[in-house]
Order: sequence, then structure tokens, then C-alpha cells
Amino acid sequence: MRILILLFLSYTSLLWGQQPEIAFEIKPNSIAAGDSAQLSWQVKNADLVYISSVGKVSLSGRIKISPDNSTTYTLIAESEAGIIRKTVSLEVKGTRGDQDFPKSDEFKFKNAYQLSAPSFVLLLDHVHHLLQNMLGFQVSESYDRHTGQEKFVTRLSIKPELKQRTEGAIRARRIAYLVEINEFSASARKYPCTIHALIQYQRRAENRWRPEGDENIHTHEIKKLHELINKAFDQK
Amino acid sequence: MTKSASMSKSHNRTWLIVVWFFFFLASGAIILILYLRQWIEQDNFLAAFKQWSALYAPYIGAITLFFWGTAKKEDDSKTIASKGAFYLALVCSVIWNVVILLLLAHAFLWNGSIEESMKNMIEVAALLSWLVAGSIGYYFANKRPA
Repeated sequence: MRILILLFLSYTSLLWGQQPEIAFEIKPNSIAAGDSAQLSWQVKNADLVYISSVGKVSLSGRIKISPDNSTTYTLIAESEAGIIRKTVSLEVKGTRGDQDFPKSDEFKFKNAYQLSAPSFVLLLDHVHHLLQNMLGFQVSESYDRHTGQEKFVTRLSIKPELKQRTEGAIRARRIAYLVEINEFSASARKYPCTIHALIQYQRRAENRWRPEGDENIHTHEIKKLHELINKAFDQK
Repeated sequence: MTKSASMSKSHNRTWLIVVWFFFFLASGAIILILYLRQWIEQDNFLAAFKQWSALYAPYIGAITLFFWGTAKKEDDSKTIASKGAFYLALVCSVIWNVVILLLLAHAFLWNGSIEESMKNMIEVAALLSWLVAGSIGYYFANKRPA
């Protein structure tokens, strides 16, 4: 009985405690391709704030955005009381550039890890910064309510280092990553994470990109990305 | 008909068939080399092989037919092609074959792709078909009384 009372008290204290309050909007919510919209937000009772496709931001602010395609932006506010999300969507009429991000079922090789991070928002910001700014990928972010996973998918990008000099018959290889970070299972600041890689190759006299079947190349690249994520945390 | 005139006519036809078979085999060899060097995979190899075969079949078939068919009739001196018709057929054949070979060689020598080469070959072959078909037809059909 005491345990139940304690549980109830701790639950109510969480509810009445420092739950973040979020005001998050986008204006206008529909633009033509090439135009821009403004994201604005104000968050109270939060320690850290992250906006998908933008990165870690201050508690309040505004930013101009001009995405190539329709995008859903998720604001994640983290405090001791937990994590709260709010999403806004921007419709882009007409599109610019290549639309295709690889679909989840195209990724055949993956490795699971436990990532240590001081907070969920900092971890997301690290992964976002690493994929987009350091490795130069175009990144799409989404949140799966059912699994509680934050997903980062990159576009396929040609990486010269994936082609060895001895491989005369290969013109190029390209790679895309899918990084899934689970918030629900987080315990002691350890976040379950799955890194998927999709590598394709192009033969020297072909246009067609074909899926790379060699598991070792995928595993090597997955490990490299995992090391980079960990290294970024070590440096900070 | 004199023996030398008959030999010259036979010689001309042989030249024409040699030109066609040379380019036919050369372009086939390029496709085979691309495959053996693993610059293309089996699906593209088979597709290219089919296209190559379909592209040359009407001309090689017709020329071979004319060659053997008219060779049998040579003794009775019913058909004698003029020099002008021969050179027209030869020049048009060389132009058609060189263009096709260059388009195919693009995938091999200039960092092109077999898909692009095949697409361009079909387009160009269709555009130039009237030229080569007409000139070859005229050469073999050109008759004058003995």
C-alpha cells in the first residue's frame, strides 16, 4: 500500500512539477518551392530544446526555413520531468531537386548499440550535426510514436573512399544511413540505437546503381559511424 | 561478260560484306569485352547483345542473301552493278557502321554507359536506316543487260 501511495505521489508531483510548456508554430504553413516560412517557438520549464532538421536551439526563437519538400518539424523539449514533443507541418507546393530518400526496407544491414549521452536532446543534436554538417548528407528526420524512435535517414551520397583503387570495374559507391534512436528504453542515460547502412555500387560502363551485397563493407561503415558518434561525445 | 568484269563485281561485293562483318564483329567484341572485364553485369550484357543482334540482323542478313544469291547467278551475267552504286553502298555502310561503333565505344573509352550507348545506337540506327538500306538495295538491285 505504501508503495502505491509513493508511486501516486511521485506521479502527481511529475504532473504538477516542471513539465515543459511549448508554443510552437509555423507561418505560413504552405509555401511554394523556393519560398521560405518562419518557425517560431517559446518553451518554458525545459532544460534543452531540439527542433528536427534544425538542431539544438535556445528556449525561444525564430528561424527562416526553406525546405525542398513538405516537412514536419518536431520540437522536443527535455527537462527533468521528461520529454515533450510538439509538431508543425509545412506544405511545399511544387518540389525542388531529388525527392528520394531510401525507404526503411531498403536497408539490409544493421548493428545495434547503446549510446551514452548526457541527454536525449544532446544525442539527437550530435547525430544531426554529424550526419548533416560533418559527413555532408542531406538528412530527413521523423518520429515514430509507436516505437518511440527518432529516425534519421540520409540521402544516398557518393563517397570516393568506398571505392578501392584496385577495383577497376567499379566506377563509384554511394552510401545512406538510417539511425534509429529509442527514447522509451532509455535508462541511466543510455539510449538504444540501431545504425543501418545501405551501400550501392555502379559498374564502370553502367548507369544503374546496384545494391552492394558484401556485408563486411556495410558493417565497417556502420562501425565507423558509431565510432564517430561516440567520438563526438568524448570531445564534448 | 568478261572474266575481269565478273571478278571485279565479285570483288566489290566481297568488300561490302567484309566491311559489314568487320564492324559487326568489332561492336560485338566491345560488348563482350565490357562483360568479361566486369564493366557491365549479365542483365546489361544480355540486353546489349540482343540490341546489337537486332540492329545488325536486317543488314547482315540482306547482304549475305544478296551475296550468295547473286554469286550463283554470276555466270549468266544477268546482274552487273555500276561502280557508282557500289561506292555509294560502301560509303553509306561505312558511315552507318562507324557511327554505331563510336556510340558503342563511348561506353568503353570515354566513361559512358552501356545503357546510354544502346539508347543512342537505336536512335541513330533508325535515323540513318533509310540511307544505308537505300544504298545497299540500290547496289544489289541495279541490273543492266549483259
